[in-house]
Amino acid sequence: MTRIGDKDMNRRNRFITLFSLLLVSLVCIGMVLAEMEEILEDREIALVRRYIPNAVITNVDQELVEVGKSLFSGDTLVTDEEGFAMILFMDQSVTRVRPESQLIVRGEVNRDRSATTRIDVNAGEIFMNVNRQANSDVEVGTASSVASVKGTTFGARSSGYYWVEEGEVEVMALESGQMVTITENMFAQVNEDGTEVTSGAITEEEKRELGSGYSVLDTDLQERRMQLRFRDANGQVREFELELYEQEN
Amino acid sequence: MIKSIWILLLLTVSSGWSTLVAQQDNVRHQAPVALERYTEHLLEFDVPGVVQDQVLEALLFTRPADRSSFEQQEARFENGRVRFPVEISSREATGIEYYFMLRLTDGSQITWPNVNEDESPVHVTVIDPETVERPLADFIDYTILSPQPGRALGEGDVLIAVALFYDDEDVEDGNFRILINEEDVTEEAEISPFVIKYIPEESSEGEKSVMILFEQGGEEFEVSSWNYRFVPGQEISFGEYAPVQNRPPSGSLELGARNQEISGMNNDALNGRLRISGQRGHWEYSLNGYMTSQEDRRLQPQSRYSFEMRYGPWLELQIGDTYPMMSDLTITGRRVRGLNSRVSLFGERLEAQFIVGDMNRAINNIYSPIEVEPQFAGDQQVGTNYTLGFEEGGRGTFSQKLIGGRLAFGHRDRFRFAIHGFKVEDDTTSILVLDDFNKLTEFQPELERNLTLGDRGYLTDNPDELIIEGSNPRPRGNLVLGSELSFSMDNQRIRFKSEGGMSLLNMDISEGPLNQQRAEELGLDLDVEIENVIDRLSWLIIINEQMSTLPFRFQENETGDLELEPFFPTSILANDSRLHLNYFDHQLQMRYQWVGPDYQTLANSTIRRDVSGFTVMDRFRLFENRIYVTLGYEALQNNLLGVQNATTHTNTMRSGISWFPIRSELPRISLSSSLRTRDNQTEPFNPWLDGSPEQVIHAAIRNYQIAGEDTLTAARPRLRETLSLNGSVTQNFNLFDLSHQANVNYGVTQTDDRYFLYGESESRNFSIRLTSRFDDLPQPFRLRLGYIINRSESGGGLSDVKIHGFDLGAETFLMENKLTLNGELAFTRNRFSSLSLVVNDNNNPDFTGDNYYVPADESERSRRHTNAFIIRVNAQYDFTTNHALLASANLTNVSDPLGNLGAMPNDRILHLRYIFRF
Repeated sequence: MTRIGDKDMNRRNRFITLFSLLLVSLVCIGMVLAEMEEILEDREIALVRRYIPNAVITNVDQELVEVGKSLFSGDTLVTDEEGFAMILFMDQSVTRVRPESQLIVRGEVNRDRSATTRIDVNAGEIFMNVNRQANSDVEVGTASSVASVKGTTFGARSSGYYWVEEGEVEVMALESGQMVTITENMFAQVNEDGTEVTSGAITEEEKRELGSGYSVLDTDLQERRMQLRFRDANGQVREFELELYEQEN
Repeated sequence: MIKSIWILLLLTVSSGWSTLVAQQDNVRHQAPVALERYTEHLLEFDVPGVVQDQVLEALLFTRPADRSSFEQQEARFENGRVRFPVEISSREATGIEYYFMLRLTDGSQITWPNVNEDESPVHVTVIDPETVERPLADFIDYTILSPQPGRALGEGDVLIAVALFYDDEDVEDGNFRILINEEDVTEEAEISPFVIKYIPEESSEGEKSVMILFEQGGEEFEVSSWNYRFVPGQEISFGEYAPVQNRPPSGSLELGARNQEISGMNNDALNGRLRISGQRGHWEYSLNGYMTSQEDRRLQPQSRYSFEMRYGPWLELQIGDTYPMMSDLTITGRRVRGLNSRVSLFGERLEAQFIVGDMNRAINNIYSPIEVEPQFAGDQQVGTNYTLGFEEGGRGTFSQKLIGGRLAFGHRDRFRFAIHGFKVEDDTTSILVLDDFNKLTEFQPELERNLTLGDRGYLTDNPDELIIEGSNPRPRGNLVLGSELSFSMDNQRIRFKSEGGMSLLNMDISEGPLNQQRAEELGLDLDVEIENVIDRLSWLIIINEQMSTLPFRFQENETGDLELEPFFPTSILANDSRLHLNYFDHQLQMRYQWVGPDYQTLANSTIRRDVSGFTVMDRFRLFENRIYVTLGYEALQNNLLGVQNATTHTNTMRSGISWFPIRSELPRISLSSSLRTRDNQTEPFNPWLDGSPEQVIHAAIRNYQIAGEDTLTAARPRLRETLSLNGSVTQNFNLFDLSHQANVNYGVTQTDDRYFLYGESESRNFSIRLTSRFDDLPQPFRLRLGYIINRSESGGGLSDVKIHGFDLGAETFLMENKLTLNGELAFTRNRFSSLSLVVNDNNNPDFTGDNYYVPADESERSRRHTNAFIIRVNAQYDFTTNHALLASANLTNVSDPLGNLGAMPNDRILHLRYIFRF
């Protein structure tokens, strides 16, 4: 004989058991997810390679930029009216940041060296050189647009203006979903509403003007060799191969 | 980087020891255990008993171990010390050989090694920069973020960053480490699980190596390694499109004053040195000058001046005191006051070199008045000698001029053929030479003041009766022609180079070219065609009977007269060919040389003559370059023309093993040995000593051989074996939180002479040096401590030299490194004992064939004991980077406990210098 009360009791017990299991499972999943999140957050996605004061990085706290400073997913980098910064991503892609810019970097880096990077340009302008050898997906977003890039040298402004020096960029207006692909020596402009994209060509002079200013961050030295002969304290001639270094621009 | 090689004592032993002791001029030098390739080292020689104004030149002769000719390098001798920077730039050199020479104003010279320095120079192993091959961490991927391999970074821009990619389980319980130039900087680096970052606080200029290691379970894996270059100072970066720059003149000016008292004699000196260099477009220029109040017309130039201009890679001009290099068998750095120029075209595929100038300047003879000396036979005067002598140091030198050139075709790294040649000739008109009485009367009649009227009359009638004491200096001429062929294959793994040369040397060109009249005086018949040829060649080389080798043969003609017939003497030729193979960590070198006995050149005195043979040497590396092994064999012989009584065969076997561990806490050990046998394949034979005891037969002065029925004089028998064993250990260690380096050397050289009783010798030396660094003190401080003992016996035990030396040195940097102080206290105790050999006439004074050597009576033994204290202090104060003041003081005290040398005053030197850099 089965009693209803007993049935209810059994049902309740099963529920409690299932609930307990679910709760424990959720806690475990949460712990695992939290741990995973922690792992993801612990993994740097970029470094500050060079900077010209002043620039700050904000996340929970605000910190002044310094060479070698790590950028984690969700970090915001801000430059003031004189600040420049060069960011080096884990796939060797490089982003140069103009003064009065604000950008948020997000992404993840995987064991197989592939990476996903998203840079939201909330203000100002960036110029990016995406490593074409890397297996990375890079997106640049503004309030009205998003651009997908791969193996490209291009610039982006928070106003939705993009131009390409090398490679190609796919630009989409967020509101309308309209997409255009621009290649070398082309630009694309997404309007404020994110409904329309216009594109066209840029001249060499315009391209040079757009890229100007970033060279302050380029202090790489280019090696040149020269053979020198000179005389030592006793007048004896000695020959040396001298290595000279020119600033690369 | 300069590695200062601190050297303790290896003092000399030789028959010239008495001179050494008297002059307090023992050379102190300690050869390094090894020299690292591509790194500049300092070789230091101390000769505390010699002062600067006694020194004409301080020279270091160096050569790669497989070369025949030394390259000479000059450095400034100061305060009893000279330092030579040495860098091994040759890729294939497995060792270098060197000897040191100090030429003194009195004509003597001090060398190190002090016996046979050019035949038995110091040999030092060359090692490659250390590299370690560790297992690769192939379970860890990485991306070099900064700096990219091979790139250069400027000041304030150095960030070393690597991104790491791996599975967690692969790297459990492991640690990452980062090494910069093999120095572990992990503690200063920022290491997160996936990124390693390091920013050096300060760095010296140059190539930097970065290595990322992963340590797990006691094993080290290499994750990544690469090099970059650090270039401090932004001023070295140039504009984007301006590879050719203008460089304003810069340089330094140095003014010095020296006060010294040596052996009670005061000798002060002033000197100045100026260097200026700059660039304007493709034109580069430099000006060097050294002026000293020690300049003396009786010496070769002491002051030196030179100006150099260079136009890109295409043109080079050196004017003044130049040190041209042409090839191993020609000129290798001998000083020439004149012009050395070079033109290079078509990407260095065509090069021309031209040299002209003086190797010696003229120094006039200073004669003393004629000495009259009657000659007697018994009580009867049979004649009179009239001798023209020289004042002390009055013997002169002709001005010696050099002109030469070289033309090379092809690129030096692929295939190159070159021809070269030069002529050296004394200017016979540059000094006055009084070779007969008429000339003396005409130019220096005051030298007749010891003559009576009768003497004058006799010499006027017989001007050639004037005897020149020791003969006048003779003008010489030399012509050298040569060619060179070199090529390389298989990415330079196979390299071949061969040089051939011919040298004609005339020992006296004062009489000019040989002509028929002179030939007749010599009793020869000179064909007019040959006379014409000789005359036509006289612009190149004066050919006469004074040639070191006559290019003539004497032929009896139909009338029975001796006639000259030209021929080509092979003795004036030389060849040196080398093949280098570099495969499988082996560097195999083969060399064949043939240098004729008459291959003499006035421009290079370091070429060994009358030698032929081959050398094979293999050097290989084991255990990831930790162990170097050298094996070599050399077979040489002299008497190439077969004109000497015997041919000496010299066979040398060399071996060496060196351990250069990677870990700095392990010692560096180097052991080497050589066995040299010299055998002239002549048996001792003296029929007049038959039946004598062994010690008499083996001390015989003369040796004989039987030829048919005749007993003829033969070469002295020689069969000598010289065994050398050398070992050195260098150990770095930490004690009391200080880093120290200890270096111990031990060497023994034994020579056994199978035939000559007094030909054996043995030398043992031991030295130890400790260098401690007190870098953690507020004022960095370094301390050096050294001790040496040397014991040498020669002459079969007749000569015995014992030397004990001790020195203590310290160096510190004060006032924010503006003031550098270093001082040294050294003490040596020398004991010398020698018994000479005398001739025993075997109770037969009228016949010398049975004479033999015996030691002199023990009462004639020569003994000298000296104790020497040397105190040396140096200070340098840098007011600014442009202005510096240097002061040095040196005090030497020598005492002679036995009193043989008499009272010796202290020697002292004070030297002040001001340097202005601009």
